[in-house]
Amino acid sequence: MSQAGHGFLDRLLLFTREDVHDAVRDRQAHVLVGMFALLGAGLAYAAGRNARRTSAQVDIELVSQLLAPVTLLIPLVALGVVAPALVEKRSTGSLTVLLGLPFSRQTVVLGTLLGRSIVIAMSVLAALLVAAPIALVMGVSIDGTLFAGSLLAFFVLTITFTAIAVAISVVTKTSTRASFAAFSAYVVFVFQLWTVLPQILLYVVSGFTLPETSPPWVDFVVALNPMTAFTNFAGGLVPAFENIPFHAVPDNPAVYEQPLFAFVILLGWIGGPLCFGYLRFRKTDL
Amino acid sequence: MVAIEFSGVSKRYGRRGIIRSNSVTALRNVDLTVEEGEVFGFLGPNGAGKSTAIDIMLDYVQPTSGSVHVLGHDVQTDSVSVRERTGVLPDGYGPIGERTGREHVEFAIESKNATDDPEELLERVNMLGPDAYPVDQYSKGMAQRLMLAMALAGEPDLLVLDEPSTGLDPNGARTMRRIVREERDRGATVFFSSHILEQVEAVCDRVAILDAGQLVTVDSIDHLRETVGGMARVTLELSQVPTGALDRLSSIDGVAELETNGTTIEVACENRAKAPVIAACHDSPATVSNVSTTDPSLDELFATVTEGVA
Repeated sequence: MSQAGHGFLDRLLLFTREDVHDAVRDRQAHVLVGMFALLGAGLAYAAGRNARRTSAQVDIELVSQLLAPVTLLIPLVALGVVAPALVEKRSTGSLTVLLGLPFSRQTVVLGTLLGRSIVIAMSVLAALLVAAPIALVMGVSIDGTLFAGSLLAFFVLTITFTAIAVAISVVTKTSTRASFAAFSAYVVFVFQLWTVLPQILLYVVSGFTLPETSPPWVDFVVALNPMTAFTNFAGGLVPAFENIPFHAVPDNPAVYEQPLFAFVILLGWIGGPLCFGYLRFRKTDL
Repeated sequence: MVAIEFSGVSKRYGRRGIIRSNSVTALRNVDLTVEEGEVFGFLGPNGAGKSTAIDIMLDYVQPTSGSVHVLGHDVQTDSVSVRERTGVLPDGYGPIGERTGREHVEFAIESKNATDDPEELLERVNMLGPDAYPVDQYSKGMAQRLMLAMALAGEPDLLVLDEPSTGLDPNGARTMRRIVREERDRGATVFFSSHILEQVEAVCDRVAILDAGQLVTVDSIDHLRETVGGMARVTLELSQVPTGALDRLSSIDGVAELETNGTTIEVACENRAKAPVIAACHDSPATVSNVSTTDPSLDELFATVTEGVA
């Protein structure tokens, strides 16, 4: 992925900026920010109602209430909104115009990742910023470090799933296929279908029977799921993530379940799909 | 200096199926050199492979074999350097997001690190006014003008125009030709494809004719006309066809065919035989009441050249 240095960064920034402008122009940014803000407001309000009902016995904290819903929403939005992005650009011909200007295909891939990640990250930020004052007014406490830590974790999650979505967008040729691939990715990663895959593999390699104890590689493969890696990573950053309902962070994490290793796995989920997508895209006819 | 160089370029579009695969050859072993500073017309019937050739030049499409160098850069490895100095009016373009016309032009200028005034570029293509509207509401002709304005951003050394006059009204087509000449006078190379011969004839120094993926000929239009020849037609209306006139006419060198219905004579002949034919009739006892001649039409020329291969 080497590109003659001159002007590459400038053009990447220009492309990213224009990609964000596009999202604003076609109101996608408005819809996303509105959606997340509404979620934030709703959850803060619910927490507030709860706090009033339980009065002072239990301290209700805002951010921990937001973790699970936002964690589920980010991959949904990233896959749903970003996966059709480049496919659409290709079919409407705007990619033809963009690639007639001095933008490399690499710039298109990276710029789309950055642009869309920024839009989604801003929406996530909006959710927290809208939730905070409502929470404060209604007597829900806000943990500052939790707030900052979860925001950081959400940004990492955003980039991870945007990268996966960009790869889908760049590899598929029609928006129907892109949507289907995005939906499948959501089911596999977020609904934990991923966990079943090594079990099936184990079943097959052990001669169509399940052994009493599963070998360690099964757990390792399970830990490679980006959502699992995310909770492992975020749990290290913000302990409250350990209580997310769909994946509990193990009490005695193996090496590959440690936050740092999980972060590396997430980086792999950003870099891997992007490289794969770019390499395919580089040699594809428009 | 060479602006564009195709060396042995072939392109096969394949469609892999589970049961059966098929493929179409769009270009076969094309070699072509375009010099800097010339206006080069790329002609061919629909489906001849013109757009494929242009798409390969712009790295939209990978050649199956062969290579293309534009302005000294290999288009496959260094296409950004090519596009920094090239203005492109591609085929099958669409608006970038919900931008207005002006925003498109501004984007093109900025991406080329240029300092053009968007106002001036829009003015050149007569698009001041509609520039404030989103491009997705433009008509074909308006979009075509706008794309030309974008292509002109940054004073490119090379203009690549794929069927530039598509959708343009006569005024638009004239504007297009004027701009092509202006750009050539500035020193730019212009490469454009067309299936409309008049367009090409009006502005091109040289033309290449492509048919069924093969380069049939590369030549200047005048020279092409000379080599291919083609028949001129002379129609004479006379008070009556004098006896022996037909024999006399058919003995004139260059006359190929004669037809008469009693008062008119139609002569198909080479260009050089036109005047002798008319003179011969004038000298005959009959009165010539009307004479009309037609040049060998470019359409015939086109047909002659492209059918020669098929």
